[in-house]
Amino acid sequence: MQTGKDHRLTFDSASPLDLKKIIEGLEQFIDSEDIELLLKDKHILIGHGRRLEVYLLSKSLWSLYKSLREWRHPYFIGIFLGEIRGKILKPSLHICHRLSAETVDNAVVATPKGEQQFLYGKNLESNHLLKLPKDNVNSEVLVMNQRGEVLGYGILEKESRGKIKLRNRKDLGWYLRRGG
Amino acid sequence: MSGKRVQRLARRFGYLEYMIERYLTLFGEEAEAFLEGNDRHIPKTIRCNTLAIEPQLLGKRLEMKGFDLEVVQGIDYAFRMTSGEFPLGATTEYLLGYYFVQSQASMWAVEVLNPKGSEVVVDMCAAPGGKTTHIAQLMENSGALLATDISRKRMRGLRSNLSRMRVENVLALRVDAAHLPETGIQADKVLLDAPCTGEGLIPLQPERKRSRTLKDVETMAAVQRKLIVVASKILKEDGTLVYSTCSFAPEENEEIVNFALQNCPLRVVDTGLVFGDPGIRAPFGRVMDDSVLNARRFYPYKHKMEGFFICKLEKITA
Ligand SMILES: C[S@@+](CC[C@H](N)C(=O)[O-])C[C@H]1O[C@@H](n2cnc3c(N)ncnc32)[C@H](O)[C@@H]1O
Repeated sequence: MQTGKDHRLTFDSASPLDLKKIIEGLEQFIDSEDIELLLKDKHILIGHGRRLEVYLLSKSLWSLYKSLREWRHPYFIGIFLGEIRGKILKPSLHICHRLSAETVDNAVVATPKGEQQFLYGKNLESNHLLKLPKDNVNSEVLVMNQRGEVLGYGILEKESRGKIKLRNRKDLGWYLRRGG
Repeated sequence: MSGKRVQRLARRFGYLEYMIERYLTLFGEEAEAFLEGNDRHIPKTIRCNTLAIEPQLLGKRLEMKGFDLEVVQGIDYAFRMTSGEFPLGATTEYLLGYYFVQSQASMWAVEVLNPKGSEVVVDMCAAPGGKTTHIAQLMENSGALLATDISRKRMRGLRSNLSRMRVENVLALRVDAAHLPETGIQADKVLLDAPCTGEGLIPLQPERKRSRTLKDVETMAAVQRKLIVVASKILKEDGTLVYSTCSFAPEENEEIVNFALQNCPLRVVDTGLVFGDPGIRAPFGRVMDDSVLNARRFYPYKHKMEGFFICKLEKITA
C-alpha cells in the first residue's frame, strides 16, 4: 500500500469482514435486492486514513484508478458509500441521495417545519414527524420530507414519558455547515 | 493617452492607474462603457443538475419559493434569476443537489468542451468543482473524469460538491497538475480552467480593482504557460483542450494560446459559440497567431456575464 504525506488516504480492496460491515450498514435502509443493484459491476475500495472510507467504482473508473494507483492515491473516487465505524458502515449523504420513497420502507416523514429544523442539524420532536415506521425505536431510520426526498437519517428514541423523538445523525444541511 | 484622463477614470471608478491605462489601450473608445459595466449587477445563474431533476420541475419548485427565473438562451438546463437577491445556497433543493450556482460564462466553457460519457476527461484545475460537476452531468455520470487541484482547502469544497451534485464518475487527486505527464494518461478531452488574476470577477468582487499588480499578471502567466504545455502532453491526438480564465488580460489569454501554438502540437478551432467577442490579435502591439481570433471573450458590459475567456484547441499529429 503506498503512503506519503501528500496522500490523505491509502487504498485497498475490501476484505470479507469489511464487506459484511458494508452490507449490514446498508441493510438498515435498503433491502437486499437494491443493495445488490447498487453493488452490481462495481469495485469496492477501502480508503485508510483517520477513518475507514468506502468507495464504489464503475469499470471505467476502476481502470483509471489502476493506471494511477502506483503514482498517487485518490483524494476521493467514485461513489462515497460511507465510513466504517466499529462494527458497521455509516452511510454517506451520497447514499441518502440515491434513496427515495420507492426504495425504502424504513423512514419517518417530517413536516415542512420539521424539514427545516432537521436540515439545521436539529433533533425532531414527535409533533414534527408525520409518519413513523412500526417497531423501530432505537434503530436508525431515514428522514424524508413530504415529497419523499431523503434529508438524512437519525435514531428514533422513546423518552421517559413514552414520547418518541428523532435524534439527528446525518442531514443534508452538512453541505452548508461543514461541506465547503 | 493623457495622464489626466487615466487619473480621472482611476479615481472615478476606483481602479489602480496601470489597469486604466491598459483598458484604454485595449478597448479605446469603449473603455468607459467597459468600466461602467463592471459596476453593474450581474444576474445570478444556476445550472439544473439533470442527473437529479428535470429543469422544468426545478424551475416550478423555485418559482413557488418566490424566485423569478428565465431559461438561459442556448443552455436549456440553466436559469437566470431575474429579480431579487435570494439565499440561493440555502434551499432544500440546493441541499438535494438539484442545482449549482454557476456563472453563465463558466457554463459555456463546459459546453464548448462537450464531454461524452464514453470518454476519459481531465479537469486540471478543478476545485471547487463548478465545472467538474457540470462535466460529470454532461457525461451522464459515466466514463472517467480525473479532477486535480493543488489546494488542500479547495479540495474539501470539491469533495462536498461532488457528493451534493451526485457525481459518481470522478477520481479526484490533490496534486500539482504539472506532474500529470508522469502518469502517462492520455485523455480524450482536457479542461484547463487556469488559475488567473481574476479581473473578470470585478463586478462580483470590486476589491479586485486595486488588489492585483502587473507582476501578478506575469506570475500567473508563467503558471499558465507551464500548465498548457502539460495539457497538451496528456491529450490524445485529435483530442480537445479547452483553455479558460476569468481574466481580461491578454497575457493570461491570447498570449498563452499563442505560446502553446509555438511550443505544442495544438491548433485553435472554432468554439461554436455564436456570441462573445473574438480574441485580441495584437494586444499592446504584440502580434499573435491569426487563429486566436477564434477564441471568445465575454465582458460584463456587453454580454451581461462575468469577464471570461474561452479558447478551444485540438491536438494535431506532432
Ligand atoms: C479558476 S480556479 C478553478 C475553478 C474550477 N474550475 C471551478 O469551475 O470550480 C483555479 C484553480 O487552480 C488551482 N491551481 C492552481 N495552481 C495549480 C496547479 N499547479 N495544479 C493544479 N491546480 C492548480 C487553484 O487551487 C484553483 O482551485
